[in-house]
Amino acid sequence: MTIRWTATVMVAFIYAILFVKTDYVGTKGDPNYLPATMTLTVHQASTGYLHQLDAERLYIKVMTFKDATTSKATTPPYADALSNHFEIMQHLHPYLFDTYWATEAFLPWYGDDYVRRANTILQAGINYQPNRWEIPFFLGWNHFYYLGDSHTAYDYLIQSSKISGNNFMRHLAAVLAAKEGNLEAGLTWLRTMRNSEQDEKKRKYMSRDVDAYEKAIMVQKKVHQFRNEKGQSPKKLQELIPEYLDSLPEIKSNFEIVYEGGIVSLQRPNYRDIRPSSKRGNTSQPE
Amino acid sequence: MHEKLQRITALAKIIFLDGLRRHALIGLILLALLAELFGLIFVDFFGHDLGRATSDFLFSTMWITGMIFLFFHAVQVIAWDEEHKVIFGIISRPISRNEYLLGVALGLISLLAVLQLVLGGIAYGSLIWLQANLSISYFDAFNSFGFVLTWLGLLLSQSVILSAILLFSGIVRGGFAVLILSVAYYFICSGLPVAREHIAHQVALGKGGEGAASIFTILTLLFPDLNRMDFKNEVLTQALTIPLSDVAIQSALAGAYIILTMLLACYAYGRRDIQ
Repeated sequence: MTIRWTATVMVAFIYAILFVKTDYVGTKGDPNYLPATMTLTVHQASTGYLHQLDAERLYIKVMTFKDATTSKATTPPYADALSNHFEIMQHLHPYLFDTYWATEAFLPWYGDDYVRRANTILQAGINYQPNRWEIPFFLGWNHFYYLGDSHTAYDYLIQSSKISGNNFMRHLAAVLAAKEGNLEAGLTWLRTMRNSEQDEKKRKYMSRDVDAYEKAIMVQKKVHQFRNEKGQSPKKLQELIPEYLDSLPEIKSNFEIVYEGGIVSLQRPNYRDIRPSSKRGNTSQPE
Repeated sequence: MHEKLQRITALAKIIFLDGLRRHALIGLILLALLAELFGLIFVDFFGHDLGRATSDFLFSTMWITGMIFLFFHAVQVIAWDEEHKVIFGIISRPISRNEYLLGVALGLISLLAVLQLVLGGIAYGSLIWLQANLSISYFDAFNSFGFVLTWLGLLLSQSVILSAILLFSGIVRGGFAVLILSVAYYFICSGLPVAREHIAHQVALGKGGEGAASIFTILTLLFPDLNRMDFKNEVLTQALTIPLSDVAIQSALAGAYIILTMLLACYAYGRRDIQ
């Protein structure tokens, strides 16, 4: 009897020692590692009637993961896996609106390829959610803000305004269509995005951009004033100092003021690089 | 005919009452009710489409509960009667094997329907309550007819599986063998539409596969596509998005399948050695 008890305790002790040696104890794992999910086919075949629940499970997994990530890289190591999760979620449950919202909140920040992957998911979503004005609005935003394609952005805004019946968006689309109105449009758009954003960090990030747009618009107005009074546009913005401006405004965001041919615009230092057909540079994602 | 029906319903009543007396089934219902309550916590993970997430969760709970009932209770009923020699007591009475099988089927379908009725009632109440307490942007539409349609679709799907379980119970002996066959049947039913879609895509691209596509179509006669009776997306629509004629065709198809499977089950059970 004693031998049996001793042997049992010894085996239990060895089990405990081996358990401690494994990575179950003391390690938290890599918070930026998102394991790839199974293929869509496996998800569909294995879940059957529960495929909607499976998509919702993936959504919760992604949101929990995103809460814990620490990477501040422009394109984080989990970008591909995250995109893949969203694509599978969209296929499994195209009627779940949260998928599109989360897609828009995360993917476009990671670079051009991810903007396009987000756009593919959103475009598919329009077919299933024809009454949601937000999806064409997101597409319009992506085309305008990330891809610099105002023309396509205008089309999506019109589509969005038709669904929502919102005159504000119709106005925004009209402003956007005007060649020199991009600053105003961008400001209105940014404010809208900021006001609807629930994440405080992202709101803060967008507020910096709003500030940059406001300052650029102020400079544009001074340029117009200069032109009205002197009959020609200044060759450089420095010519506005000191008569029209004490100094050029300091922009505390990822933008810089660019002045060409009498038009003030805001561009990211690598803005030209983010146009379609080229890779984006080191623009940073929201903190 | 009237006497036959009386015998079938009498046996069905025994099966039904026996099921209600089982503690495992009562536990299952309580667990499912708790799971439905958990749906209110589940919804907290979502930011926008709260109504849809809740509805999906509730119907998934009903589905899982129904499957547990089928795989852990329904597969055992005939095997239990055989193993405990109850079957000899039953068929020594003036009741045929066919009537026995149909009585078991009716009893189990009644149990399944009552189980789903309880869970469906709670789910309906939960959704109504949630819609009344949430802003329209989180829960914009609730279609009662869509809900009933989804509930009926779920019940019909699980009745199809139940008919297959009774067929296997009629062919082979022992609850475990029936369980293995039933699980395999369910996974084939779930996987076949995916394979069929893949082959159809290949055919559309001109990459061949016409032969396989025909084989998969024939296989679908034996292993029906249960997703065709999944109407969950209709619960949260202003008006139904699928034509009622489609629903009627799918329901009639499932009904005919159940009748054919039960006839086959009766045929097989009538010729089997039950010693």
